[in-house]
Amino acid sequence: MHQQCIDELTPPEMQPGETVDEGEFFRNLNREHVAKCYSGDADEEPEYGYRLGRRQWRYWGRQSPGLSVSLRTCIHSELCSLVLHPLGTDCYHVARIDLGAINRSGLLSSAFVARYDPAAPNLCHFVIQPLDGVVTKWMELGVALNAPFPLAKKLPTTDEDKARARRAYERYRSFVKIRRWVRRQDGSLPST
Amino acid sequence: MPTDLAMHSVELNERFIQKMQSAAVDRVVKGDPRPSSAAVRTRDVIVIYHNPFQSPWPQVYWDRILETTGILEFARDTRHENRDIQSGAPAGWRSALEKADQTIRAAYDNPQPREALRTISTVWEHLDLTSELAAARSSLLMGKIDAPKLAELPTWFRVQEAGLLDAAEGEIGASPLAVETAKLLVQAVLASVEEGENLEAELETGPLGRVTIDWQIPGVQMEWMVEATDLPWPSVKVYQVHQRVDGDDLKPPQTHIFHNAFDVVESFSELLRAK
Repeated sequence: MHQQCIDELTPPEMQPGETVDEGEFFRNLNREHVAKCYSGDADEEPEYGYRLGRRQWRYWGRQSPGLSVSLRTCIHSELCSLVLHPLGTDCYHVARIDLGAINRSGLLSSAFVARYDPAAPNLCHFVIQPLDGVVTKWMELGVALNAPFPLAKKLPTTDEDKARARRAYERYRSFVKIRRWVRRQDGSLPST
Repeated sequence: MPTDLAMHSVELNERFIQKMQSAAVDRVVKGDPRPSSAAVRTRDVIVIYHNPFQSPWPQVYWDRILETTGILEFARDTRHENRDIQSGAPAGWRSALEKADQTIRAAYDNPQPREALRTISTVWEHLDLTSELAAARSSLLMGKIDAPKLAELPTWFRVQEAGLLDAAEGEIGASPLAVETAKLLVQAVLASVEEGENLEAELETGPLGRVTIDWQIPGVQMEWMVEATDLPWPSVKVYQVHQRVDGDDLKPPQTHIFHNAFDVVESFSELLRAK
């Protein structure tokens, strides 16, 4: 699987350090990185879906200056995103982040970019970083993406609130789509 | 929907009105059939469109901020301008810093990265020195004012406090100084709110030992990130991001970086009054 993923990579025609402000990227997630949009929702198949936990957006100040991701059109599958991750065995889910949609949302005061940072064998590796700030911009992104779920502790009860919650989830999915259990719960990987 | 500025308690002075009027004439919103635009701040930035050919100033039209108009930057500039007026800062001080911003942006486009870094470092060092000056003078001034009043520490803070100092695997726990500042800030804002206002927040350890405080306020998302500072209370360093979330029509979050507790309390009170 590992070699097959490497063989099928289609690296972008970019130099290391070059940036883009759009494109879809895979982000590998461990069990704690995914939260239900409404904590009171069903554990399996929650009606209002999943979102990234806020801690996902608090990655600055560690070894990486931003969010480590892989370009979808280069690595092709969520499975290969896990397989080529150096700590991929800790990851079970994968988020597909649409950087262009986030930047076009009008909810951010400035853009985020993805910097090409090939890390063999993953030649599809990028780091998402804010262009015009550090702490404030990551906080802004976290707040902006969480905005559709203002009272996330309580499940919506009225028809109006339920409709709002569904619209909010659809909106969220235009930025981030989460595929759960790309790696099985017992740690194994599916063969295809 | 036509409305009147007075209905929204907009505090305008002559300079601000002039700015709005000149903006209405000078700035054409891309893709918008109306001939001109202007912005005004109440508690938030609100973009208004003004058609000088159809209605006498200051009759205005409200509209939502459109991403395609490029109006966000204008709204931000205008908000800054209005803040200057309210705070009594002299006109024009901001232009020097805007030049610094421009220098950094221009350097970034330099094809020689090392050269660009040198330019940015030079500007950054000056900005740091300015920041040091601001910290020193603020500290001296704060010695002339009574520190904010403090309410009793709420139970929810006590309950969550212990977990902040514990480091998760591969991470560091919160700095005790940041926790102490967070505690004082919470007590200060709670002392400023009306009795019966039941406010709570979730606390978490943030990056590099900071403390994040996620306030649970209906209709508003508000998050603080508190870090340890060189100077004692009521000096603070707080990153604040807040966003109104009434209805589906979301507006961009607003960001502030506060350096003293007075500003944090004032902003918090304003936000609660406006909700």
